[in-house]
Amino acid sequence: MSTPEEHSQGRSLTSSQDRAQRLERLMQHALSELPLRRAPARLERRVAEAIEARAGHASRPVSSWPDGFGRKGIATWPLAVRVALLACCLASAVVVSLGMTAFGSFIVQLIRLIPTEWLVGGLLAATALYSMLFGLLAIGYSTLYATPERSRP
Amino acid sequence: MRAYQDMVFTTAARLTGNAGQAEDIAQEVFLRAYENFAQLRSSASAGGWLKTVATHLTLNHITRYRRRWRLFTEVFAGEPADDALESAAAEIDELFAHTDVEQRRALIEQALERLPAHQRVPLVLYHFDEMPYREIATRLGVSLPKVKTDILRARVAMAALLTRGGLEASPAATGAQS
Repeated sequence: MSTPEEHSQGRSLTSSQDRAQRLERLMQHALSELPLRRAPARLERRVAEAIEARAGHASRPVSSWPDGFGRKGIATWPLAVRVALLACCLASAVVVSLGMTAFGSFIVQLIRLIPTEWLVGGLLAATALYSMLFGLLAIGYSTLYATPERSRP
Repeated sequence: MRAYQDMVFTTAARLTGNAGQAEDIAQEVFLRAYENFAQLRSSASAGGWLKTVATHLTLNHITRYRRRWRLFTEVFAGEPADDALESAAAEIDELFAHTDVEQRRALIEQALERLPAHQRVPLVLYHFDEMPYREIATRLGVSLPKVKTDILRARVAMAALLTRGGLEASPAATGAQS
Protein backbone atom coordinates (compact mmCIF):
# COMPACT_ATOMS: atom_id res chain seq x y z
CA MET A 1 0.00 0.00 0.00
CA SER A 2 1.26 3.47 -0.73
CA THR A 3 1.74 6.00 2.03
CA PRO A 4 -0.17 9.33 1.85
CA GLU A 5 3.09 11.08 0.91
CA GLU A 6 3.69 8.67 -1.98
CA HIS A 7 0.11 9.01 -3.10
CA SER A 8 0.41 12.79 -3.02
CA GLN A 9 3.69 12.64 -4.95
CA GLY A 10 2.14 10.35 -7.58
CA ARG A 11 -0.84 12.66 -7.99
CA SER A 12 1.42 15.67 -8.29
CA LEU A 13 3.48 13.89 -10.97
CA THR A 14 0.35 12.97 -12.93
CA SER A 15 -0.90 16.51 -12.65
CA SER A 16 2.43 17.83 -13.89
CA GLN A 17 2.37 15.41 -16.83
CA ASP A 18 -1.21 16.43 -17.61
CA ARG A 19 -0.19 20.08 -17.72
CA ALA A 20 2.78 19.29 -19.96
CA GLN A 21 0.58 17.23 -22.29
CA ARG A 22 -2.06 19.96 -22.44
CA LEU A 23 0.61 22.50 -23.34
CA GLU A 24 1.97 20.14 -26.01
CA ARG A 25 -1.49 19.74 -27.57
CA LEU A 26 -2.09 23.49 -27.58
CA MET A 27 1.32 24.18 -29.11
CA GLN A 28 0.80 21.51 -31.76
CA HIS A 29 -2.54 23.09 -32.61
CA ALA A 30 -1.02 26.58 -32.81
CA LEU A 31 1.93 25.48 -34.94
CA SER A 32 -0.19 23.36 -37.26
CA GLU A 33 -1.99 26.54 -38.38
CA LEU A 34 1.18 27.94 -39.90
CA PRO A 35 1.37 27.90 -43.69
CA LEU A 36 4.66 27.56 -45.58
CA ARG A 37 6.75 30.72 -45.66
CA ARG A 38 7.20 32.27 -49.07
CA ALA A 39 10.73 31.88 -50.43
CA PRO A 40 12.36 35.14 -51.58
CA ALA A 41 11.74 35.91 -55.24
CA ARG A 42 15.48 36.14 -55.87
CA LEU A 43 16.13 32.54 -54.76
CA GLU A 44 15.45 31.08 -58.21
CA ARG A 45 17.80 33.56 -59.87
CA ARG A 46 20.48 32.90 -57.25
CA VAL A 47 20.29 29.15 -57.86
CA ALA A 48 20.47 29.64 -61.64
CA GLU A 49 23.53 31.89 -61.25
CA ALA A 50 25.21 29.41 -58.91
CA ILE A 51 24.60 26.57 -61.39
CA GLU A 52 26.07 28.66 -64.22
CA ALA A 53 29.07 29.60 -62.08
CA ARG A 54 29.73 25.95 -61.23
CA ALA A 55 29.33 24.90 -64.86
CA GLY A 56 31.80 27.61 -65.92
CA HIS A 57 34.25 26.52 -63.25
CA ALA A 58 33.99 22.85 -64.30
CA SER A 59 34.59 23.59 -67.99
CA ARG A 60 37.78 25.57 -67.25
CA PRO A 61 40.99 23.52 -67.70
CA VAL A 62 42.54 22.40 -64.43
CA SER A 63 46.01 23.39 -65.57
CA SER A 64 47.06 26.61 -67.27
CA TRP A 65 49.83 24.73 -69.10
CA PRO A 66 49.30 24.38 -72.86
CA ASP A 67 47.39 21.37 -74.12
CA GLY A 68 46.57 20.06 -70.65
CA PHE A 69 50.27 19.29 -70.08
CA GLY A 70 49.96 19.25 -66.29
CA ARG A 71 47.19 16.66 -66.33
CA LYS A 72 49.17 14.09 -68.33
CA GLY A 73 51.44 11.47 -66.75
CA ILE A 74 55.19 12.07 -66.39
CA ALA A 75 55.89 9.38 -69.02
CA THR A 76 54.36 11.62 -71.70
CA TRP A 77 56.38 14.73 -70.74
CA PRO A 78 59.19 15.96 -73.04
CA LEU A 79 62.61 14.42 -72.27
CA ALA A 80 64.17 17.79 -71.35
CA VAL A 81 61.45 18.48 -68.77
CA ARG A 82 61.84 15.00 -67.28
CA VAL A 83 65.64 15.40 -66.98
CA ALA A 84 65.22 18.86 -65.42
CA LEU A 85 62.72 17.49 -62.90
CA LEU A 86 65.06 14.62 -62.00
CA ALA A 87 67.99 17.06 -61.53
CA CYS A 88 65.83 19.28 -59.30
CA CYS A 89 64.78 16.30 -57.20
CA LEU A 90 68.37 15.09 -56.74
CA ALA A 91 69.60 18.59 -55.86
CA SER A 92 66.78 18.97 -53.32
CA ALA A 93 67.63 15.60 -51.75
CA VAL A 94 71.35 16.53 -51.44
CA VAL A 95 70.55 19.94 -49.91
CA VAL A 96 68.06 18.44 -47.44
CA SER A 97 70.46 15.64 -46.34
CA LEU A 98 73.37 18.10 -45.89
CA GLY A 99 71.12 20.43 -43.95
CA MET A 100 69.87 17.59 -41.75
CA THR A 101 73.43 16.46 -40.98
CA ALA A 102 74.52 19.97 -40.04
CA PHE A 103 71.39 20.50 -37.94
CA GLY A 104 71.91 17.12 -36.22
CA SER A 105 75.50 17.91 -35.26
CA PHE A 106 74.39 21.34 -33.99
CA ILE A 107 71.75 19.73 -31.79
CA VAL A 108 74.26 17.18 -30.43
CA GLN A 109 76.69 19.99 -29.52
CA LEU A 110 73.88 21.95 -27.91
CA ILE A 111 72.83 18.96 -25.80
CA ARG A 112 76.42 18.46 -24.62
CA LEU A 113 76.51 22.04 -23.42
CA ILE A 114 73.38 21.60 -21.26
CA PRO A 115 73.92 20.04 -17.79
CA THR A 116 72.40 16.56 -17.39
CA GLU A 117 70.23 17.67 -14.46
CA TRP A 118 68.63 20.34 -16.61
CA LEU A 119 67.90 17.84 -19.37
CA VAL A 120 66.31 15.33 -16.98
CA GLY A 121 64.33 18.11 -15.25
CA GLY A 122 63.15 19.46 -18.61
CA LEU A 123 62.06 16.02 -19.77
CA LEU A 124 60.16 15.42 -16.52
CA ALA A 125 58.48 18.83 -16.76
CA ALA A 126 57.52 18.22 -20.40
CA THR A 127 56.08 14.80 -19.48
CA ALA A 128 54.07 16.30 -16.62
CA LEU A 129 52.73 19.13 -18.80
CA TYR A 130 51.84 16.69 -21.59
CA SER A 131 50.00 14.42 -19.13
CA MET A 132 48.12 17.41 -17.75
CA LEU A 133 47.15 18.58 -21.24
CA PHE A 134 46.06 15.04 -22.19
CA GLY A 135 43.92 14.80 -19.05
CA LEU A 136 42.28 18.17 -19.70
CA LEU A 137 41.55 17.24 -23.31
CA ALA A 138 40.06 13.90 -22.20
CA ILE A 139 37.80 15.65 -19.67
CA GLY A 140 36.80 18.26 -22.23
CA TYR A 141 36.03 15.64 -24.85
CA SER A 142 33.93 13.52 -22.51
CA THR A 143 32.01 16.62 -21.36
CA LEU A 144 31.37 18.14 -24.78
CA TYR A 145 31.10 15.17 -27.13
CA ALA A 146 30.26 11.98 -25.26
CA THR A 147 26.51 11.42 -24.89
CA PRO A 148 25.66 11.27 -21.18
CA GLU A 149 23.28 8.34 -21.79
CA ARG A 150 26.14 6.13 -22.94
CA SER A 151 27.94 6.50 -19.65
CA ARG A 152 24.88 5.53 -17.65
CA PRO A 153 24.36 1.90 -16.59
CA MET B 1 12.02 24.18 -58.22
CA ARG B 2 9.04 26.53 -57.98
CA ALA B 3 6.90 23.74 -56.58
CA TYR B 4 9.28 23.07 -53.69
CA GLN B 5 11.10 26.32 -52.99
CA ASP B 6 8.67 27.48 -50.29
CA MET B 7 8.86 24.12 -48.51
CA VAL B 8 12.69 24.06 -48.61
CA PHE B 9 12.97 27.69 -47.52
CA THR B 10 10.43 27.20 -44.70
CA THR B 11 12.27 24.13 -43.40
CA ALA B 12 15.55 26.03 -43.21
CA ALA B 13 14.01 29.28 -41.94
CA ARG B 14 12.14 27.68 -39.06
CA LEU B 15 15.21 25.74 -37.91
CA THR B 16 17.68 28.62 -38.21
CA GLY B 17 15.29 31.44 -37.28
CA ASN B 18 17.11 33.55 -39.87
CA ALA B 19 15.80 34.26 -43.37
CA GLY B 20 19.23 35.13 -44.80
CA GLN B 21 20.81 31.88 -43.65
CA ALA B 22 17.74 29.97 -44.81
CA GLU B 23 18.12 31.44 -48.30
CA ASP B 24 21.75 30.32 -48.48
CA ILE B 25 20.80 26.83 -47.32
CA ALA B 26 17.89 26.65 -49.77
CA GLN B 27 20.27 27.58 -52.58
CA GLU B 28 22.64 24.77 -51.58
CA VAL B 29 19.74 22.30 -51.41
CA PHE B 30 18.68 23.13 -54.98
CA LEU B 31 22.27 22.91 -56.20
CA ARG B 32 22.43 19.39 -54.77
CA ALA B 33 19.10 18.64 -56.42
CA TYR B 34 20.54 19.86 -59.72
CA GLU B 35 23.50 17.52 -59.30
CA ASN B 36 21.05 14.62 -58.73
CA PHE B 37 18.56 15.82 -61.31
CA ALA B 38 18.63 12.57 -63.31
CA GLN B 39 17.46 10.56 -60.30
CA LEU B 40 15.01 13.12 -58.99
CA ARG B 41 13.29 13.92 -62.29
CA SER B 42 11.50 10.59 -62.41
CA SER B 43 11.20 10.13 -58.64
CA ALA B 44 7.85 10.50 -56.91
CA SER B 45 9.63 11.27 -53.64
CA ALA B 46 11.51 14.36 -54.84
CA GLY B 47 9.73 16.47 -52.22
CA GLY B 48 10.78 14.10 -49.44
CA TRP B 49 14.35 14.08 -50.73
CA LEU B 50 14.46 17.88 -50.76
CA LYS B 51 12.97 18.07 -47.27
CA THR B 52 15.51 15.58 -45.91
CA VAL B 53 18.45 17.37 -47.53
CA ALA B 54 17.17 20.76 -46.32
CA THR B 55 16.86 19.48 -42.74
CA HIS B 56 20.26 17.78 -42.89
CA LEU B 57 22.08 20.83 -44.28
CA THR B 58 20.39 23.15 -41.81
CA LEU B 59 21.28 20.97 -38.83
CA ASN B 60 24.86 20.79 -40.07
CA HIS B 61 24.90 24.57 -40.35
CA ILE B 62 23.45 25.05 -36.86
CA THR B 63 25.55 22.44 -35.06
CA ARG B 64 28.83 23.55 -36.66
CA TYR B 65 29.42 26.27 -34.07
CA ARG B 66 27.14 25.02 -31.34
CA ARG B 67 29.45 22.61 -29.52
CA ARG B 68 31.22 25.53 -27.86
CA TRP B 69 28.22 26.44 -25.76
CA ARG B 70 26.65 23.02 -25.37
CA LEU B 71 28.37 22.55 -22.01
CA PHE B 72 26.67 25.63 -20.58
CA THR B 73 23.19 24.75 -21.82
CA GLU B 74 23.63 21.24 -20.32
CA VAL B 75 24.66 22.72 -16.99
CA PHE B 76 21.85 25.25 -16.74
CA ALA B 77 19.04 23.04 -18.10
CA GLY B 78 16.12 22.29 -15.76
CA GLU B 79 12.46 21.38 -15.83
CA PRO B 80 10.04 24.32 -15.83
CA ALA B 81 7.78 24.59 -12.78
CA ASP B 82 4.17 23.41 -12.83
CA ASP B 83 2.96 26.99 -12.51
CA ALA B 84 4.89 27.94 -15.63
CA LEU B 85 3.23 25.10 -17.58
CA GLU B 86 -0.19 26.13 -16.37
CA SER B 87 0.27 29.82 -17.20
CA ALA B 88 1.80 28.96 -20.60
CA ALA B 89 -1.26 26.92 -21.51
CA ALA B 90 -3.51 29.76 -20.32
CA GLU B 91 -1.53 32.26 -22.41
CA ILE B 92 -2.00 30.16 -25.54
CA ASP B 93 -5.71 29.83 -24.79
CA GLU B 94 -5.86 33.63 -24.50
CA LEU B 95 -4.06 33.99 -27.79
CA PHE B 96 -6.60 31.81 -29.57
CA ALA B 97 -9.45 33.69 -27.95
CA HIS B 98 -8.28 37.21 -28.81
CA THR B 99 -6.55 37.00 -32.18
CA ASP B 100 -7.58 36.05 -35.68
CA VAL B 101 -5.74 33.44 -37.74
CA GLU B 102 -3.56 35.91 -39.66
CA GLN B 103 -2.46 37.72 -36.49
CA ARG B 104 -1.69 34.43 -34.79
CA ARG B 105 0.41 33.18 -37.68
CA ALA B 106 2.51 36.34 -37.68
CA LEU B 107 2.95 36.20 -33.91
CA ILE B 108 3.92 32.54 -33.93
CA GLU B 109 6.51 33.04 -36.71
CA GLN B 110 7.99 35.98 -34.79
CA ALA B 111 8.08 34.01 -31.55
CA LEU B 112 9.80 31.07 -33.27
CA GLU B 113 12.51 33.38 -34.57
CA ARG B 114 13.08 34.84 -31.12
CA LEU B 115 13.53 31.51 -29.37
CA PRO B 116 17.14 30.58 -28.58
CA ALA B 117 18.52 28.00 -31.01
CA HIS B 118 18.85 25.21 -28.44
CA GLN B 119 15.09 25.45 -27.80
CA ARG B 120 13.85 26.31 -31.29
CA VAL B 121 15.62 23.48 -33.13
CA PRO B 122 14.23 20.55 -31.10
CA LEU B 123 10.78 22.22 -30.96
CA VAL B 124 10.67 22.56 -34.76
CA LEU B 125 11.95 19.02 -35.32
CA TYR B 126 9.32 17.65 -32.91
CA HIS B 127 6.27 19.66 -33.97
CA PHE B 128 6.89 20.31 -37.68
CA ASP B 129 8.98 17.32 -38.74
CA GLU B 130 7.27 14.93 -36.30
CA MET B 131 10.65 13.55 -35.31
CA PRO B 132 10.61 11.41 -32.13
CA TYR B 133 12.57 12.60 -29.07
CA ARG B 134 15.20 9.90 -29.40
CA GLU B 135 15.94 10.72 -33.02
CA ILE B 136 16.20 14.43 -32.20
CA ALA B 137 18.68 13.59 -29.44
CA THR B 138 20.74 11.51 -31.88
CA ARG B 139 20.64 14.14 -34.62
CA LEU B 140 21.65 16.94 -32.28
CA GLY B 141 24.18 14.86 -30.34
CA VAL B 142 22.63 15.63 -26.95
CA SER B 143 21.03 13.50 -24.25
CA LEU B 144 17.39 12.43 -24.37
CA PRO B 145 16.45 14.21 -21.09
CA LYS B 146 17.96 17.44 -22.44
CA VAL B 147 15.85 17.23 -25.60
CA LYS B 148 12.67 16.71 -23.57
CA THR B 149 13.51 19.56 -21.22
CA ASP B 150 14.48 21.92 -24.04
CA ILE B 151 11.22 21.25 -25.89
CA LEU B 152 9.17 21.77 -22.73
CA ARG B 153 11.01 25.01 -21.96
CA ALA B 154 10.63 26.07 -25.59
CA ARG B 155 6.84 25.71 -25.32
CA VAL B 156 6.77 27.80 -22.15
CA ALA B 157 9.06 30.43 -23.73
CA MET B 158 6.92 30.45 -26.88
CA ALA B 159 3.80 31.12 -24.83
CA ALA B 160 5.52 34.04 -23.09
CA LEU B 161 6.78 35.43 -26.40
CA LEU B 162 3.34 35.08 -27.96
CA THR B 163 1.76 37.02 -25.11
CA ARG B 164 4.45 39.71 -25.27
CA GLY B 165 4.16 39.86 -29.08
CA GLY B 166 0.38 40.13 -28.84
CA LEU B 167 0.67 43.03 -26.41
CA GLU B 168 3.23 44.81 -28.60
CA ALA B 169 1.08 44.26 -31.68
CA SER B 170 -2.00 45.78 -30.13
CA PRO B 171 -0.96 48.66 -27.81
CA ALA B 172 -4.28 50.37 -28.46
CA ALA B 173 -6.15 47.38 -27.14
CA THR B 174 -4.05 47.20 -23.98
CA GLY B 175 -4.36 50.95 -23.54
CA ALA B 176 -8.12 50.68 -23.84
CA GLN B 177 -8.19 47.89 -21.25
CA SER B 178 -6.16 49.91 -18.75
